[in-house]
Amino acid sequence: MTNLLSVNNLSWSCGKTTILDDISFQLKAGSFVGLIGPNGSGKSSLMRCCYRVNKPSSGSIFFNGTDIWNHSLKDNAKRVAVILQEHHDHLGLSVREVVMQGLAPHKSFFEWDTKDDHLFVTKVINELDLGMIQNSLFSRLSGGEKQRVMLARAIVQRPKLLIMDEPTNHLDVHYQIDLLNKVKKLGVSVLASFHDLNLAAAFCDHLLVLNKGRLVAQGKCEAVLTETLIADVFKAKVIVDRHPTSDTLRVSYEF
Amino acid sequence: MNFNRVARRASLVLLMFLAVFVSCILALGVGAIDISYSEILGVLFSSSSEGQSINLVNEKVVIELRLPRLILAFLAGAGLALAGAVLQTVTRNPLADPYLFGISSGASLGAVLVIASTSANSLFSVYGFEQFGITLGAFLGSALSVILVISLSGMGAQVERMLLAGVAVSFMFSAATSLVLYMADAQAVASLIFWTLGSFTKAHWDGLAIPGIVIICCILLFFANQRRLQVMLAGDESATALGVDAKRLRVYMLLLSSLLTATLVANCGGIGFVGLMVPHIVRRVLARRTKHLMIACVIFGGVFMTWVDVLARSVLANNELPIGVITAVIGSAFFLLVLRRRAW
Repeated sequence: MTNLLSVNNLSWSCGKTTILDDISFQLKAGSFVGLIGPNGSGKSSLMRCCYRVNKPSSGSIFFNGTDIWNHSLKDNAKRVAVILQEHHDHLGLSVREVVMQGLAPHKSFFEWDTKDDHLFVTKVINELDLGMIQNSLFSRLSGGEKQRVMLARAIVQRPKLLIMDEPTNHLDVHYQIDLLNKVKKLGVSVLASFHDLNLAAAFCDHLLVLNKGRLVAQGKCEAVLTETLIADVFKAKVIVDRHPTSDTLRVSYEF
Repeated sequence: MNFNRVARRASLVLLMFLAVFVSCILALGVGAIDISYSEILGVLFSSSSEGQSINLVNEKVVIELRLPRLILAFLAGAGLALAGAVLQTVTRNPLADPYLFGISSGASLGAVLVIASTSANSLFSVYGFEQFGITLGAFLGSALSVILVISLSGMGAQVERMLLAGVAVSFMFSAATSLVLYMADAQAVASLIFWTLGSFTKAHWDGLAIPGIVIICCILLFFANQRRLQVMLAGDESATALGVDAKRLRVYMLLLSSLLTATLVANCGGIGFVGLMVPHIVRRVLARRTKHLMIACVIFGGVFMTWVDVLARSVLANNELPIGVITAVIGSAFFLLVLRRRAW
């Protein structure tokens, strides 16, 4: 497998405070990489560097072998789609119109939507069970539905890499699992941050652990999610064992 | 279902054109002299072969006075509504309009300064110079306010700060305008006040070229960016991820809107509330997608202003009401009604 995304000695500071300090990791094509760490550890800042909102103070980020800052925003948007945890109201746009925004990076000035665009959008909307609500106002949807609309928009963007910043926040258990299953089925490479360690363990092939702006551990879930590391990084007492039926790692907290 | 949508869209477009046509014809019939509609149609389409002879004075009134005034009113309504729609989209704030950013008050100050200084000195009040000078003054004033707003908000990075700075700048320029009015001689004040409240009395064919060209260029540029404008609604960060440089697009659109507003203020004075209200009403009852919103704002804004001008000319006998007063009264009443009837 080739490296889709490679982050090399990345540091990023905001004013005089260093938020990210000397981070290096590789994301292989087709893998599902999870990013975990306590609040304020720099997860969102790291992802912002990856989708070209934050410019690194030093170090570099390569996508498919070229520096992402050597490409235009639009070219990056053709390859990387982003799902955030909070959404704007979209000032009265309907679900379908929000999904159509995903076409933007593939269109130039004055280029109208074609019949194929509409067919593609309809297909994606139906695949994500949004057909019934496609004409509803985006701002009226529940959190779970909004997140599915965001996924639909990301799919329409036709990315090679999907970056998700705590996509399961505010969602109930059903929608959390449902959303991640839908992402997994896409077969696209994923970089996603999580608060729920059990979700991370169940869906990720590879985990990155951030603490105070440094990458303190990375590797397969079994190697990373140990009782000592969780105690160390999250200051929480846990027991790690296997789920009796699904055999995934299970993290239980002591209160 | 697909056929229904096409049919609905076609009938909407047809309805819009009908509204524009009917409004224009009806508006041309209103004025100090009674001119029949058949005569107006005859003048417009020069089909005098119907046997009805056209009165030369009436023809002159329609062609030289009423038609340029109608066109200026339509352009003003369309331009202000469009500027409002674009500003609301790039700031994602439903309260944004050319007034909120100080664009209008900056333009008013610039224009008032030029008018006050030229009226004192008859040497400068040569006709062509005056028109050009007012436009230039208005544009410089609005450009100054935009530069202030943008530099105070970190090059347009922070929308909230941008809006607050806009309110402050707007008050500052309004105060300066009041001061100029206070200091000006009594004769100038009367015309200045009437002008700051908006009026189409000065409309004439030669004066339509500048606003016409500016509006058409702005419409083209806004439409070229319609997809990127719609993406702005997703928020700056999501817009970046969708390939749109949100900060740059916002500054660029703000500059275009200020050019548009300044041109209109220079030609017809300060007309408030259209830029805020028309996009709102259109968004609520007609169209929400950015490109449809923009088309509908051009049409509806223009038709609305045409009727406002008709009211301004016909409510008082032998006198005219200021346009800005009528837009504010009708606008706020209608706005409250729409707001009450349909919750978002």
